[in-house]
Amino acid sequence: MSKWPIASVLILIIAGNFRCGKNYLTYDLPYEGDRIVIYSFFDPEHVFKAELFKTKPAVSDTTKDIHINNALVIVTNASGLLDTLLGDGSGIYTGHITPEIAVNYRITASVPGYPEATSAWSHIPEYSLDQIEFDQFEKIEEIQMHLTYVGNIRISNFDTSSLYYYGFEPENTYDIFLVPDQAIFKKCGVIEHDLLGQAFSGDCLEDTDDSFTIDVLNNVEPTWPSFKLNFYILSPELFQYMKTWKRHFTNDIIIYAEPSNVYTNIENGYGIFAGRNMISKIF
Amino acid sequence: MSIYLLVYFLSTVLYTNSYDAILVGIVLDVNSKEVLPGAYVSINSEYVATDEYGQFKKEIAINPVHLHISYVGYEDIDTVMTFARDTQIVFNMTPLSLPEILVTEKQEARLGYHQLDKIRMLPKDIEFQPQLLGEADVLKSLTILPGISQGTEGTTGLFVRGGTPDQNLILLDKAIVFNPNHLFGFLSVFNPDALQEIEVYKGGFPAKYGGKLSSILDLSVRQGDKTHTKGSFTLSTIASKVALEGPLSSSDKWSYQLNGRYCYLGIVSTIINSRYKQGKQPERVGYSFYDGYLKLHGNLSKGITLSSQLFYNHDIYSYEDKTFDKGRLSINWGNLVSSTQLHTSFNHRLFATTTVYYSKYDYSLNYTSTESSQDLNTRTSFINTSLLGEYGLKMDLDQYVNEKYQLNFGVQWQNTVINPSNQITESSGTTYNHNYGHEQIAKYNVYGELHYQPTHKLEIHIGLRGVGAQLNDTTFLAIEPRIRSTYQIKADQTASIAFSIMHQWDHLIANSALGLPNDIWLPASRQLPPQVGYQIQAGWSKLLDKYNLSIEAYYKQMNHQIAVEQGIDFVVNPPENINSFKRNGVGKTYGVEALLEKKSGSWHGTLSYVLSWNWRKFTDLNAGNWYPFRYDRRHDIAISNQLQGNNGWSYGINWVFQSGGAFTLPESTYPSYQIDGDYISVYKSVNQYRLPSYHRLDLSFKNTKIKSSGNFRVWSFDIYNAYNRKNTYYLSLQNVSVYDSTGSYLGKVQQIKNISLFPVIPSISYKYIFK
Repeated sequence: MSKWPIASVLILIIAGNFRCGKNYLTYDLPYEGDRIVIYSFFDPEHVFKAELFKTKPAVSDTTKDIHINNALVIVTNASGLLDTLLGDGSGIYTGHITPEIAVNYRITASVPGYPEATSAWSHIPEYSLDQIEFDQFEKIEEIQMHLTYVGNIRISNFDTSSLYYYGFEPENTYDIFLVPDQAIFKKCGVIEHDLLGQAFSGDCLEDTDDSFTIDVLNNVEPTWPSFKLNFYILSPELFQYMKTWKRHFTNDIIIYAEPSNVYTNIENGYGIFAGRNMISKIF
Repeated sequence: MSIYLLVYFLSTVLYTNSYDAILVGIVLDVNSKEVLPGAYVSINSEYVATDEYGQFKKEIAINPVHLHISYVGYEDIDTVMTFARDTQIVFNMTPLSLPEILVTEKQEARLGYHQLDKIRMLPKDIEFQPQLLGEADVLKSLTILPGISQGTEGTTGLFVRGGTPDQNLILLDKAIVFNPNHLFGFLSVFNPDALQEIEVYKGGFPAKYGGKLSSILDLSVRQGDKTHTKGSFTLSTIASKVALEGPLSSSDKWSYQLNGRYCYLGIVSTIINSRYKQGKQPERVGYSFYDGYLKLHGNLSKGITLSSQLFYNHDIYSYEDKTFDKGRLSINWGNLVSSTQLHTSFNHRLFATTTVYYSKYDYSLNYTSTESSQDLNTRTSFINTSLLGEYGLKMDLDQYVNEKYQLNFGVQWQNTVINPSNQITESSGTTYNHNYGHEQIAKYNVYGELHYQPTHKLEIHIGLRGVGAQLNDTTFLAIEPRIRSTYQIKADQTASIAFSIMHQWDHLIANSALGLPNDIWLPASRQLPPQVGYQIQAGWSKLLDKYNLSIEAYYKQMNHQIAVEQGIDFVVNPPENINSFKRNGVGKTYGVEALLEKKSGSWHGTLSYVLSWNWRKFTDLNAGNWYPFRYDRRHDIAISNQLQGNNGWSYGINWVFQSGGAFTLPESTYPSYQIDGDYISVYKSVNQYRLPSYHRLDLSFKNTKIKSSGNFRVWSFDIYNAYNRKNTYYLSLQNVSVYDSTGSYLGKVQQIKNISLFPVIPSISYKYIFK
């Protein structure tokens, strides 16, 4: 018998036990230096609030707390300084003033040794949800909503299922996100879609009747006493942030997705400063 | 018919009376009566090669004529003849007694020059290569040649001189094949047993080809034995193949060829997945495919042949997970390709081929998941389908005018249907349907190419191709010049130069990594202009004693390139509309290719080396600066050796090396607001880092034995990635727990994990050939 089959078996035995190549790689990644990260969502029901972090190099220890506790955080409007947010030592800064609808604000954070971070102007959107009619129903099986729009409204279902993990006692909650037009959507039809939600261009819904169905049969326990619909009205920058964050979160587990950055409206920093509002209807 | 008469009339007008006779030869296998394309024919020491129909044409100026015909695996024909008038002769070549697959000691005749930009491969060349999982593969075999590479391991498609997989025109008996890959790029859909030959053009494209920027792969299916019924069956690690061919009539005029292959990984996975059904494992994966050919070929009368072929392949991939989200994924895809060709010889000067073809590629992805919480079940489902189809008519004519002039010309009409993506999503009871759009492109092409050979040293090809495409209310028109020239510096040295312009009427949005078929084809439009490619190249070759050395330099520019927007994947976040792409990008690639070959004796081998650069630029990407393309690989080396041993043994060794491709790493990171412990990465520049180099050694050992019945069997043992190199498939940022020397937990650190796909893979196959 030729020696070559024997040789091939030997090669396999050796190769099977000694795999060459590294399991982990080291790259010399340039780091732009520490930057401030601001997370601040404001609405007409609460005072201004922000949570601050700092950036870190891409490949480094993730267990250390990187909240920023010694920042000067101020909110300004067109007239100038409006509010100074005070830190609680855990990276959370709280103000005293409640924002108004349709008024522009921006936030600035200063920390020694960091470039000053300033947001773009943002406001709580006005909304013209003229009328929402709901079909009468006896059992919580299906909800039909008819909406008449004045102005430009988009409807976005966004990540509603996560709320069920945490639950609301004793009600069940279903969220609908509306994004008033800021000329960020340029065509009719669907402008945002993922597995858990959809958004429509408000230009096509203006002054029209439209309806859509929320089939809650699979999502609602029939014995619950009530059911709540939350309508969140989002500023366009908040919508962009949520949309890109959703992609980031999804792509973390999809190895073949293109790298993506999460939207930020913070200059010299990262994060988001954006207004939102909410109205609820309980059935 | 009228166009044929017109051309015939013109040919007589152009005809000059300065020769003795035109010799038209047809070279056949004496037993099967199959044509032998690429046979080397020496006529008074001037060389020609037979075309795809086994024909050659030569003006005879001096009598008597010393004819020498050689073809690998066959006995030479050496004869002296005299021609007083135009003559057509059939030359029957006798196969050598050894099986085709063995390396012979015959030395091929030489054409006098060797071109790097045109490659010709025979199935026997592929059989000798080390095989993955026991399957010889056409596209994998091409990657040992300079200028042709595969992407990262596990990805599909060929990258030719820096182009992308969608820029390769792949023809099977003149019909286009849209997706030639099975899963993970393991295998192509082409079964070498069914093929006659493969011609590859990397540049200097003849005018009769068009529609793609980077390469032409012209595969022809074997006609089948016209005199005897014969066949083979093969069992390998993952698939089995059956081949059958023979005459359809007793008059040796008609033949058929039937080939089928089935991958039984599905059966194997069913056994493995039995634990899944028993609840002992949470995941189940399944995959299988099958492909098949049928070809009919016949001689209708003297000078008229008819052939028809049908090809079909189907792949099925499934994945199920009981744990995370009870996710279930299934993907189906496949090609259906058919063509019919009528080849007509009007006289000894004019030949015409009329082709009608149809090709279709479709795929569907079906994903469902059910998330459970607090006795609630939230069901999500996603279905995505895509379709690409084309049918067309071509008429190609070859006019042999005289010793100095030949004309190739023709017309082509094609209609392409594209349905890029139809998505149906259901989530929490809400259904959403999005159809990207159904488009048709009608294409009209006319071409002419003059072959001018003023002396026996200089050959010039000047071609012009007029192309037009109609999509809705948009019309595209363009002219594509094609020029190439070779000059024989000395008897053993040749120089060549070529220039081509190509247009492509579609864009492929390819899955960037995983070898899944869920790519999306988009037609050209006003918003997505057709791709345009410009390529110039210059080469030099020299025949050494037993070696051929060829060196070629090229520069290629590609306009109107597109790239996928950030965050797009092809399952959860597929591209939705024109705004999902970055458009009007530019690509440029340039480099030098060298190839050293030895094709005679008991040892055959090739050594290739490529030094190349590959760049892209988009206005709103990387701040508008040039950045390295993902598959920019500075150095590419391939060594391939086949050795004929004793007692029926033959051996193959392949070693390939590629510099690491370019990729993007984040440069900083910060915490996410929504989820504790989640970090968001910041990407600044594009493809600024390099993957580790890729290199791999493959070995093969074959043993062939001839039975007393004249049949023979072949055992093949192959080892893929013989030293078990952990070649990178992708990199992943992961939180890794770190410990000190005492084993105490220190915390978590982000590290870049190297994920590889294929370890060392042994395989075995058995082939039995009966006659």
